[in-house]
This record gives sequence, C-alpha cells and structure tokens, in this order.
Amino acid sequence: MDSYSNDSDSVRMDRAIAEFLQQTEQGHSPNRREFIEKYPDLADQLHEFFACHDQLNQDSTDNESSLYSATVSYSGSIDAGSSLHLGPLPFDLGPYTLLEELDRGGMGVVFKARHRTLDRTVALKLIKSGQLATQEELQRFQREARAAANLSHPNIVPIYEAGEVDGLPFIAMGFVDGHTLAKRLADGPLDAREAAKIAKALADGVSTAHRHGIIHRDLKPANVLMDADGQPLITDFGLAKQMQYDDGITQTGQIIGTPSYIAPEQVRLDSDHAPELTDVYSLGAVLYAMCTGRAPHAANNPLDTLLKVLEQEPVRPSKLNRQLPAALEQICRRAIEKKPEHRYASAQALAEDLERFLKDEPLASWTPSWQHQISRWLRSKPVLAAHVFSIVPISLIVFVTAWITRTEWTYYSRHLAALFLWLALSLALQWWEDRRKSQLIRSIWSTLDVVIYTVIIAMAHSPRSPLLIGYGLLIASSGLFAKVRFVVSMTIMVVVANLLLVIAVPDDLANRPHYVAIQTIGLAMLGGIIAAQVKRIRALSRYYESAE
Amino acid sequence: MNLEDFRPYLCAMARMNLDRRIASKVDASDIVQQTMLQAHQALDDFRGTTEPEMAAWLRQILARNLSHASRDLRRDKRDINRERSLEASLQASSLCLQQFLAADDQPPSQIVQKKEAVLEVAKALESLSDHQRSAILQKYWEKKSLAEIGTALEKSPEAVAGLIHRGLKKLREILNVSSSTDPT
Repeated sequence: MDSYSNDSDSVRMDRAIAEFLQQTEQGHSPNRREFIEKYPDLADQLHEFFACHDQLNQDSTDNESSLYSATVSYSGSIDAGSSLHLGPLPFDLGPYTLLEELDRGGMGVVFKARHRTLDRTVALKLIKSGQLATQEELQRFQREARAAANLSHPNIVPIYEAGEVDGLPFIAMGFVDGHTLAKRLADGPLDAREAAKIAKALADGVSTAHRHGIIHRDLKPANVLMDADGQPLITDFGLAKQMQYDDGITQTGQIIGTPSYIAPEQVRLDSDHAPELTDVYSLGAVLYAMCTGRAPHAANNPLDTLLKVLEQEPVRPSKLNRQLPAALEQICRRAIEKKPEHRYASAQALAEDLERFLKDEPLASWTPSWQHQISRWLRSKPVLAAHVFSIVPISLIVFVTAWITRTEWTYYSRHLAALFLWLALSLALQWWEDRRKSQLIRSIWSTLDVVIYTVIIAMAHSPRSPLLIGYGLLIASSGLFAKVRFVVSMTIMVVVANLLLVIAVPDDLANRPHYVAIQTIGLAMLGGIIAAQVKRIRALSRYYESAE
Repeated sequence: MNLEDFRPYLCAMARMNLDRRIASKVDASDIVQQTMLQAHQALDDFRGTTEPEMAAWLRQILARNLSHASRDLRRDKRDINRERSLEASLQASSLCLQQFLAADDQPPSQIVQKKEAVLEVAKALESLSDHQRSAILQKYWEKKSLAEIGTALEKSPEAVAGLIHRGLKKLREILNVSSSTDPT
C-alpha cells in the first residue's frame, strides 16, 4: 500500500503527474501507454491516478449512468417554481428537452437539446451563476446575442434564441455534430491547402459578421467547430465581448489565461484601432496554428505570453513546418502583424488572398517598408540588436579617436579587437539560439557580456570610472527579461567582476577604498531595485489572473 | 436525520460557490454557520422526509446567504436571478461531489443507494489539508490549469500535481474505508 518507499519516487511521481496534466491542459491527450512506459516503476500509481482523473474530468457524455442516475436522488424536491433543477437527462427546460451534456466551460454548460414544438436540435448554452450578476449585464448580454442572431452564414454557428428560463440565462445555437479545431490541432498541423481552405471559410464568415457590425474578439481554435464534412463553423459570435472585456479584466479569467490568439492592441486595451482588425489578427493566428500545430505566441504563464504578444516577432511558420509554401507563410505573417495598419485591411482582403493562394495565383503585392523590416528584425532578435547597436557605435568612437590622435595604435587596436570579438561571439550565440532554444545560451551570453566588458575596462587608461556605467546598464537591461533570478545573477556577476577589477588592475580608485564600497553598494542596490520592479509586475499579473 | 451531518456538505458547497470577488473578505464557514442557524430555526417549515430533500432545502438557504454576502459587500441591489442561478450552481457542485464518489470502484447503482454518500464525500473533502482541497477543487471544479493553481497557491506545478495526487489518494482511502465499514 505504501507507495512512497523513498522520497525521490514521490518527487518523480509528482513530476510525471504534472507533465501529464499540463499536456492535457494544452489540449494534447498524451498516449497513456507510452506515458506509463516512460515511468515503468510508477505504473501502478499512474493507473490509479488516471482512474481518478478520468472520473473527475469526464465530459459525462460517456458516463450518464453514474452521474445522472446519481442526480435522481437530488431532483424533484423543493417548492415548485422557485428554481431550476437539472434532473436526470433527458430533462425538460422551458420549450427545450435537454439530451446530453456537450461541454462545460468557465462560462457555463452546453447541452445538446431539442426544441419540442419546432423539433429542432440545438446546442443550449446555460450561463453559470455569477457570470451575469446584474440585471443590466443580463440585458446587454441578450442584446448582443440578439444582434448575433441576425447573422446567417454557412461558417457561423447560427443563434436561434437568447432568453431566460427559470431565472437562468441561456442561448440556443445550431447543433454541430463534430469536434473543435483545437482538438483537431492537438494531433499536429494540417496540410497547407486544407489549412488555407479552412482559413478562407473562417475569413468569409468573419467578413460577413463585420458587414453586420459584429466583431468576434475571441477567435481561437477552441471557438471553431468542425462539422462532419470538415466545414469549419465559428461559435460564440458577439458573446466574447460581453463575457470577457467588460471590466477591462475578464470575468472568466480566460483572456489572461489563454492570450495566445488575441491581438497586441487588445492586450493594451487600446481602442483607437478598427476593431475588425483584431479579428484579422486572430484569423492569422488560427492559420498559424493550423500550419504549424502551435499558437504564434505561447509561454508557460500568461504574463510571458502577453509580453511575447506585445513585443516579440513570432517564429517564422516555415521554421516549424518546412513543407509550408512561401505564399501561405506570407499571408499568415501579414495577418498577424503587430501594428493593425500593417495587416490586411479587412477580413475580406485576407479571404481574397487565401483564395488566390488556393488558385495558385500571385498574391496581392505586399512589400513592407524598410523601416518596418528593420523593426521586425529588432523584435525577432532583441538581444542581438541591443549588442549591435551598442558595440558598433562604440567601436566607431574608438576608431575615430585613434585616427584623430594618431598615437597609441596598439592600445586602441586591442580595444577594437575585444569589441569585435564581443560582436562576433554575440552573432555566434544568436546563430546557436536560432537553432536551439535554451536557457543555457542566455546565461552564457550574459556571462560573456560581463567578462568581455570587464576585460575592456581593465585595458583602459585611468580614470576608468566613467566606463563603469556599463555595469549599471548590464544590470538594468537584465530587467527586461522580467525574471527575478536573471536580474539577481547578473547583479552578482557584475559586483564580483567589479571587485576583481579593482584588485587585479589598480586604478586611482585603489587609493580610495570607500569609493569602491559605495560603488559596490550602488550596483547591488540597482540590482535590488530592478528585481523589485520585476517582482511587482509579476505580483500584479498574478493578481489580475486570479481577480474575478 | 441530524442537521449537523450536513455541515461538511454545506462547507464544501459554500467553498465551491463563494463569489471570488468577496472570497478574501468572507469566510465560507461563517456563511455555513449562519445557514445552519437559520435551518435550525426554520426546521418546522421543512416538509420533506429524505436526505436529498433536506440537502436541497439547505442548499436553497445557503444560496440565499451566499447571494446576500455578495450583495452586502458589493453594495448591489438584491437580485433574485443571482439567487436562482446560485442554486443551480450549488446543485452542479453537488453533482461534482458525486463524481468524486464514483471515483471509487463500486458500480454506480450501489452508490445511489447509499443515501448519505455525498455527505461522506464532503466530509472526506473537509478532512484534507487546505492546500490539497483547494488544489483539487480548482483543478476539477473550476477547471483551472496547474500553472494557474500554482500561482494562486504560490507553488510550482509539480508541487500542485503532488497536492492533487496525494489529495485524491487520501479521498479514495477515506471513502473506501468508510464504505467497507458501513453495513449498508
């Protein structure tokens, strides 16, 4: 019985479970057998855990017997008319008969249901309590749903009705017999033509909605249903806004929880731009996911994902899927441009370009300006860019100084050599990082920065104190990665390097030890302040994640 | 039928449905205490005879108290809709507890016959450590990710996985023991 014979077993078990749960959360369903083969000695415990997990996590469609028969005992009590009781299925609710539970999310529960008089099968979404707390919120929700109900397009899940039964707000939507695109993507990327066809259909649907003045705002693979014929249908049109953006922060925690598909201006809550273009971005992000099997920006936690959405250039799709045609990659990249004005001007323009791709015609011409290309390069390799933009001008200054004074060529050439070495190694590290993402490279790079910079100062003539500002810059820039540990390790390296410098290469400073002490404390405090800022941002992000 | 037997059940329900906007200011056990008091006073009004009826009646009182707590702290007006949807949500969480129960190896029919089964689950749940219970409810009731739970509890995802694993194991042990000692 006692399975924790030793400590490391239990640690490995925790790790295995964490791995399993996280894969499941990302929408993959790990192969159980392979998983257990990976941890053969934990097989029994894993089997036991899977059994519990499945029981608690089931969609309950395959297990009506246990769930709903158990419900029998809890239905049909309380005074009539006062509240809703979901008894055993099938269960009558207003004009609908609930047949089976399809999905359960942050917002509520979706049932497959039948309208008894119209004899129409629908997906009935019941909104969970607390989601629409006040009467005004409820009314607005119904207004939005009514607007969306006017949409009629083969690629949009129709909304039949929105209302309230027994005090419970609901929406009746077309029932799609199929699964979500997210589930399909868990098996890997789609074939390029198929991806383009689906994206074209989605863009058509979105463009029709935009003509009716309805913006989706939360397009993502989980909101796309694939029917039996492989046709994609967009769901939750016009509802996302109500459900998620009202307070600036979400009510369900979802916008911050899975921000991989939302546009940068949505993250900034910047409403100066045409809202249609946020849907164009999301369409592009969905296309990206279909081509590569993953979202353009994904990280372990919401803050890092948001930073990536705001600041970083996504990995080029062709790097993740080598068979991807260049034209489709271009469409994808154009749709997910950071700045709305660089994207397609409308969902329709995106649909037209996808149409051209499918007919093997040349795409609408798109030549980004050189400023735009530079800024895109800066975003994709920010660390290298920072190195180039500091090392190159400094090298020029050193060179010009040497040329003007025309003396001490060896002195200056040693400096130039160190600077060029720094630049060359930085390029090499970037080349390495492009091939292999690893925390190790970043650590090597920051160590290299401290070492080479220290060597350069060590070679400098006295007084060298003005050059010490570089140390402060290294600490300050480490804060941009928003990782406390990185800031702390950089600060320690810099302080140590500075002390070694004072000891190894005496300068005027050696005569004034209290200056050295002040300087050391100053560097440490700078590191502390930056680390405190990073901690503060992390804490705020955690707060907003858990708020509401 | 002893009212006090329902306390862990109501505690679990309250924890699972306490408006998160006010969770830091209100303690679930206070709301349960209030609910128990009101139930004692109004026991004459209760016309049912079975445990499930009692549970449903108590849930109704609890829903009103939870709704009032949100209203008082957020200075909203009274909202009958919220109260009703809270009742539905309480019922859903009751179902969720039953899912825990189904996690032991008995065939479902037997579980249904064991009337206080849900009360047993609630009791078992209350006997877990705060962190274990919180991790399990967040994972399987609120459907949060390990990372989200980790941030809320200030633990690594592995540590959260450990809490869930050991919590489920303990629940299973408690429920198996109590069902084997129980003659019905």
